[in-house]
Amino acid sequence: MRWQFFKRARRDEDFANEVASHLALEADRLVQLGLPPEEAMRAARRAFGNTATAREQFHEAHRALWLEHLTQDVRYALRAMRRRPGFTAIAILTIALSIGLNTTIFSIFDAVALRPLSLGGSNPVLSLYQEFHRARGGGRKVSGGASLFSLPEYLEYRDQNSVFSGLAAYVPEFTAALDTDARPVRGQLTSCNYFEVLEAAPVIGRGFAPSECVGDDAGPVAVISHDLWQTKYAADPAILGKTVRLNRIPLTIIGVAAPGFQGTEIVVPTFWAPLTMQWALSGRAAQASQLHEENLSWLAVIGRLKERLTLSGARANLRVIAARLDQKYSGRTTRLLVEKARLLAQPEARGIVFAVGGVFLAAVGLVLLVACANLANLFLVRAASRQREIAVRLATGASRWRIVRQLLTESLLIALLGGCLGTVLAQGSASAIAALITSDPGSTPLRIPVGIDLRVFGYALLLTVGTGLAFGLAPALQATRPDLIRALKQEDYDPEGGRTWLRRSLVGIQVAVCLVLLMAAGLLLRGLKRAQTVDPGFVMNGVTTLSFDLQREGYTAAQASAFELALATSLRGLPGVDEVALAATVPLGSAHTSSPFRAPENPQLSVELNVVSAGFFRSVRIPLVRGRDFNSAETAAGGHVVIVNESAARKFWPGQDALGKLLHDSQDRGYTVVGVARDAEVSALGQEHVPFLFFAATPSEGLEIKTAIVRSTGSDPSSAIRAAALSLDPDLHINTGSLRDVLGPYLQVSALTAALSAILGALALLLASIGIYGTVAYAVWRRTREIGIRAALGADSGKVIGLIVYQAMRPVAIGAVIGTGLCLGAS
Amino acid sequence: MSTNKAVDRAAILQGTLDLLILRTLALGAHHGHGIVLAIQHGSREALLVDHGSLYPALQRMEANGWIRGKWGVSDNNRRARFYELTADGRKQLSKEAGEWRRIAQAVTLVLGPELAGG
Repeated sequence: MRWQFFKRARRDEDFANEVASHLALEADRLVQLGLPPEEAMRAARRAFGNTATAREQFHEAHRALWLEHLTQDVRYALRAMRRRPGFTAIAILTIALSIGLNTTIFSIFDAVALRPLSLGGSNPVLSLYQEFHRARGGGRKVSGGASLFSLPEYLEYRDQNSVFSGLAAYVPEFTAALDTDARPVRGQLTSCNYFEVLEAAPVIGRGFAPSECVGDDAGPVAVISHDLWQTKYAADPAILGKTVRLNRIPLTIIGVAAPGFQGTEIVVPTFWAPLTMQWALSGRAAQASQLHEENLSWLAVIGRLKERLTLSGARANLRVIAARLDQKYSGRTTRLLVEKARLLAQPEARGIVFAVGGVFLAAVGLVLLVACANLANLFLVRAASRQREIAVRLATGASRWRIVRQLLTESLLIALLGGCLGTVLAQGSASAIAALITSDPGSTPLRIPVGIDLRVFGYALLLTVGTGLAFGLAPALQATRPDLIRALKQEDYDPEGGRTWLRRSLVGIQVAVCLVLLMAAGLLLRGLKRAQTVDPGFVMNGVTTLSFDLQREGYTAAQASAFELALATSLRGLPGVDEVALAATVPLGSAHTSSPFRAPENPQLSVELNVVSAGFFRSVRIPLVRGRDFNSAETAAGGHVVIVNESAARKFWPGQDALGKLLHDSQDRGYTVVGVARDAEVSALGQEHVPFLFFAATPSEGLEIKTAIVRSTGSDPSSAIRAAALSLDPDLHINTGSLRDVLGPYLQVSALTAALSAILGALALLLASIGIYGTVAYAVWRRTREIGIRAALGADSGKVIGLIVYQAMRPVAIGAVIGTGLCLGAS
Repeated sequence: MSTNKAVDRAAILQGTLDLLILRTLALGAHHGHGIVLAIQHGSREALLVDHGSLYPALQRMEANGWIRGKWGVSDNNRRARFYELTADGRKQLSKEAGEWRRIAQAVTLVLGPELAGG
């Protein structure tokens, strides 16, 4: 018999006292019978039993006993697992796949949103963001995120705080053309203490000096990334002092960042330049300097905490400064967000990342749940086949808890093995996914530093233990339920028993879920194919686009307008070219802006718009259903005219003819409608009936124009178009492509979603098959005797098999019907 | 163990010990040593309680809520843990006693009148 430990209300010492008291009482009795006291004590001990004294010692060190039980349980579990290697392998693999999937998603989520950046250095680096409440009148301008700071605000925090050894500010992402390279690069414009605060001194040269930050244009210098130094400059040791041109502004290279230093944002910077160069690098013609703007969000702020200071201490100190600023700028209340620096730390980005991450984690969590249900099924079968053994053990005095614990040890062991394998898988797949995301040369260079840290490990462990309990507990409890008599008598006949409905509905649900996933994958794939042959209401074939950004190149509006005029003329002269138009953005492009407009007597409405030259509608074949195209007089003189699409016409002038009507912008300038264009999916694919406005490209809007649209017949004109543009300005950064390229992002998103749901669907299918196997195996096991009787009475085996298959397939069929219904309902 | 000292005395059947303890305690609170003596005495020394297996049984029964233990002082002034029956224990006693009687009766019926040499 074993000692029972499940109620440890009594202390071991108390129990030892009780045993001692017993021995004393027995010795007393023996002394009364005439034994000498010493002899009596020995006899009492003997009567209690040698093992008992040994146990007593064990009891005092019950930790050792626990360990003994545990090793016993583990050995028992290992034996059981070895006896059924196929079963064990399936169980471990199921867990490995589903925990691997979950851990993969979580480790990516952890890498971008949860894990503090490992920036090296002595003390932690904190990030600062701010949110405004009841900003009266609003009016705050935003460039790159509403939670960023203005320079005067940053200086206030930098100079007044007593918790940071240094506080730096930077523009999180600044895109610039590098020399004459076709592809723009990303960089950061930083305060001049940036490299000191991050304790990331350049390997060659130096960081920025305070004198380079005293005012606009004070520091025409740059630090380049180690990567750029190696690829573009072939690790030239004499790099310092060379000139690099960013957006045509010459900057002197004063340093090469340490290898591996990638700043504090998810976008990997290629260069760093002082904040004071922002105006020059952004094109002076377009706007004023931002340095002295007090009500503009444009700088991210990070600080290195002083020795021995805590996060909460820092928060308290910074809040005082925030309150002082609130007094200075009345009508606003600032809420400061001070955290350890993370990759995606901006509150706006975090909102999106947490929402998306939550959806993904929930989706893969569902798969894990299905896996648990399956394994529970399998373990029920296992436990059922061991019911007699368990019943015998219960009858001979083993406690239920002890047996439950043994069964649980087995499922936890399997879960742990699966979890370990899954975590290893996750390591590989997370890195592979991160590499896939970050390797696309056409997109923004990102970094996703996935890796196993304590958080990922803890998550995997939590899932693993949860999984082990989830699929082990129910079978263990059921197997040991105190219904011994029946188990001992082995009354197995239970054809439609009450407990099977749960298993059957589990199978049905699984089938339904995996059908939904597989059908979703199929539908998405079909959609993908359709997207390539879709008619968006305009014609993409035969259109080549040329894109440029004259504002970034430092043009003035007049220069830009002259360039565009010359460009259009020279493009029209190219062989095979039928039509040339200029526009702010191509149809379906990502750079559409929207602005509020109203027709007299109607409420204001925010509408998307494009700025186009005459000929735009002909070049992309959008028919004008009323009125006419812009004429050259209007585009040249800046006539206040607009062409609206049918939806806009309906929205602004319901039931009336829009032609000749007046449309007002937010500054109350009036624009006469000269034409109505047929609705087309110009703003987003699949959104045909959305109001849209086309404004005439006038000379004053030269900097807005960023693309030329060329319709041609015959051979690909892109090289001729490039040549024509470069002959006007040899330093221009241009890109040519087909108008069809705008579909790229749409295709990519659907391809990714289709792939994901296909993987999930396949996994669910695998799990469902395991589940069905489990149910059938269980049913057959329970009915072995009945089947034997049927066979003995002359039923042929075909009929018996038919019966079993019929009963097993019924929940499958029901699940399939439900799944199909769900798909039909959703599509 | 002690069984070899008295071969004519039956070691208590597994599972029967609980019943005997419950019955003993139904007459009043006892400490462990007292329970051993009471069972031996009550069975006219026919049943032998292994001292070492009594305490696990007591612990299990206490955990099941059938009995409750409290420290007190024995007749000869030694500190000892006294056990008493709870309401649950009383129920358990009547259930187990009933079962035992049914089985004993059934076995007796099967055995029938004493046969020669049986």
